[in-house]
Amino acid sequence: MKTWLDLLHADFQMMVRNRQALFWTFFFPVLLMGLMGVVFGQEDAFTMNLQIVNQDGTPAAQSVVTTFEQVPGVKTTVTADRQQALDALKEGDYAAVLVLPPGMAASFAKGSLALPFFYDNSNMIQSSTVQSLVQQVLTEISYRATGTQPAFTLQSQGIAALGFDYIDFLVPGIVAMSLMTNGIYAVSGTFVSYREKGVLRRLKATPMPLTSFISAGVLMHLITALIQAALVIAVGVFLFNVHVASGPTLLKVGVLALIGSSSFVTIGFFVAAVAKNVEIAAALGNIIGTPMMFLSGIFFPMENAPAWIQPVVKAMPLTYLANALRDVFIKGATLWFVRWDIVVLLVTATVFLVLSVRMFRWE
Amino acid sequence: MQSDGHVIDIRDLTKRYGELVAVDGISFSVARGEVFGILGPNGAGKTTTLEMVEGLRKPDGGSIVVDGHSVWPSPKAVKRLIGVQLQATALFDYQKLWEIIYVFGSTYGIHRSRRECVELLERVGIAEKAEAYADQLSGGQAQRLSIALALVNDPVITFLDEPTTGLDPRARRALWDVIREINYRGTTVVLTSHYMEEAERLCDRVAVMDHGHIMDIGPPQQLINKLGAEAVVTFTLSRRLPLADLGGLEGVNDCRAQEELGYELVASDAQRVVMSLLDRAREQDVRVENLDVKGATLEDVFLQLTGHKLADDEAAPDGAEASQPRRRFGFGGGGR
Repeated sequence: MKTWLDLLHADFQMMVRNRQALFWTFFFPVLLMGLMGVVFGQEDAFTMNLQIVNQDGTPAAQSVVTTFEQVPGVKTTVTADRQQALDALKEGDYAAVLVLPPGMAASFAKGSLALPFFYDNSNMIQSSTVQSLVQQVLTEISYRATGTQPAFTLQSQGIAALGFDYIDFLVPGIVAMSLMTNGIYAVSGTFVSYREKGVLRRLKATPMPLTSFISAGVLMHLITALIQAALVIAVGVFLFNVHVASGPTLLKVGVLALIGSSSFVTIGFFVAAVAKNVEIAAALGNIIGTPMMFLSGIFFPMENAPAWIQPVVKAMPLTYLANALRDVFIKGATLWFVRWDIVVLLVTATVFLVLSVRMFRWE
Repeated sequence: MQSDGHVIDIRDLTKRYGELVAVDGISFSVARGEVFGILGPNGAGKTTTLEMVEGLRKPDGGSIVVDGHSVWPSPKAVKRLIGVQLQATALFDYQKLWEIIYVFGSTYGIHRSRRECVELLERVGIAEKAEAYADQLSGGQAQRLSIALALVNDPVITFLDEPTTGLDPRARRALWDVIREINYRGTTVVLTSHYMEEAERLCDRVAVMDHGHIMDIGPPQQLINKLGAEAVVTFTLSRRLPLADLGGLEGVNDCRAQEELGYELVASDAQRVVMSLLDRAREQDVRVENLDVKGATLEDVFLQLTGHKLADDEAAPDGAEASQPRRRFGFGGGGR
């Protein structure tokens, strides 16, 4: 046991002292997140600034305002001055203006409701999104008021995902990506170079079982994965004001990080098993890693990607990790909710574990 | 096993790689406390033999007993008893030398303090590098580290696989002192080499190996004497002596005068000839200078036994060697 801890300690020491590895492991994901967040986050494409002109002032109107204020991803402000609101809309300060005209409560009670709604149509995606969003919220309100149907909850995927800042979409993706790169590149690179240098052979000459050496290495990578995830999330929260769903979200993210990481660590071992040298390992890692990085919905949602590429998207283990992390992170989904993502990741881990055990060479 | 003083007993050891029989039914024993050398060219089967004894490679046949324990089928017990230096150094990046010593010791359940780790480095003469990383070492220093790693468990036997290959002559000689010191402290040393000088200087006994067979085994001098080969004694004198006078010395087979005051005596027993030469010189009040004895060497023994020369980095390649494909392993200088 002491030997095993010594190995773990040495593994960490080596990682911490290797500046290059340190950069790629910890700073690159944060840097990438920052860059993407600054460049794409500024368009605010994923936030609705909604201005409500409340000319009615009744409790009913107030309840509509409150409902909108509770919609995640919608920044609702209230004014009584209709003209000022429309001017601000033209200035681009708001995505849309919803007017609650005087006597709204009265007409609402009669069942007919026509609310003046103005939106900025210079941005097509945003305008169509804001229309459907507002429409949906209003539908919900009317259902609730008339009591014909139980109230909707606004958990419709499209709205929830798009209703957040880009950075909220990005952070879980970056966490998933860094787990993937750390797993595949770091593990395969380390073990192939150990084999090339004869370290594995030399360790074989000691009475210690090589499984101790490997398990210490794997644990080191899993712990690293957790630290990576924590770091990306922390920077996201403190620098970019990322929303984290309430509840034990971080605990669930930790569990997902471990599961996802073990799946990519085994892929890393597989690469190490089949690659003869460090160069081949790096090339093979790229062949597996690069398409995953861009086709797994790390940076942008893949729902809008062409249909022909969807099978490829679905074949990437990273897609499932990113989706699961996003569901948990943004929507506060339970682990049970993302169980199929977890199953895919665990199956991946098992398959590649078996393959690497079969194909691993010590020298 | 221990009663007859053997610390290693090998019987009919065989290893095949497909068609190639790398080790062909060899048998030998190593006495406790000796420096035992396996001498042969690359591809002779030295490393394969060593790796089977070390428990790294499973033999296809035969038995290996180390300090009373059968190595196969479960080599773990023997691995605890032996120290191993492999041809390719096993080094972690970003670990300081003393930390590498610590981690390797830990794999044997030995947890040294930093000071104790440095002491071990001191034994192989690289204590001043304790805080350096392994990639900052020269070839000779890297070899010393790898020998230190072969001592971390205070082994009964230390195996050194071509410990000086790739080193310059000075570093090589310095390493011999390290190996002698290890042996002096009571550790049995088994080493492989393709440098005949190394085997001759360092080893109590040598097994000459070629193409998976042991051609002969014994103390180096005995193997050389068995050849009955002649030695050449060259020297200069402070004044000229009659050739007949020198030719009449005991054991001299032939006698030639060289330029100036140089002489050359051919003898079958160089030691006896040198002694009688010095006696004669004292009688005649002549000073003997530049005395040099070129005796038969293990190189000659090898040539005699195998019909070809040892592949030696220091020797110019010749025709005999060309038929022997030369594979170089080992340490690419100070790079690692």
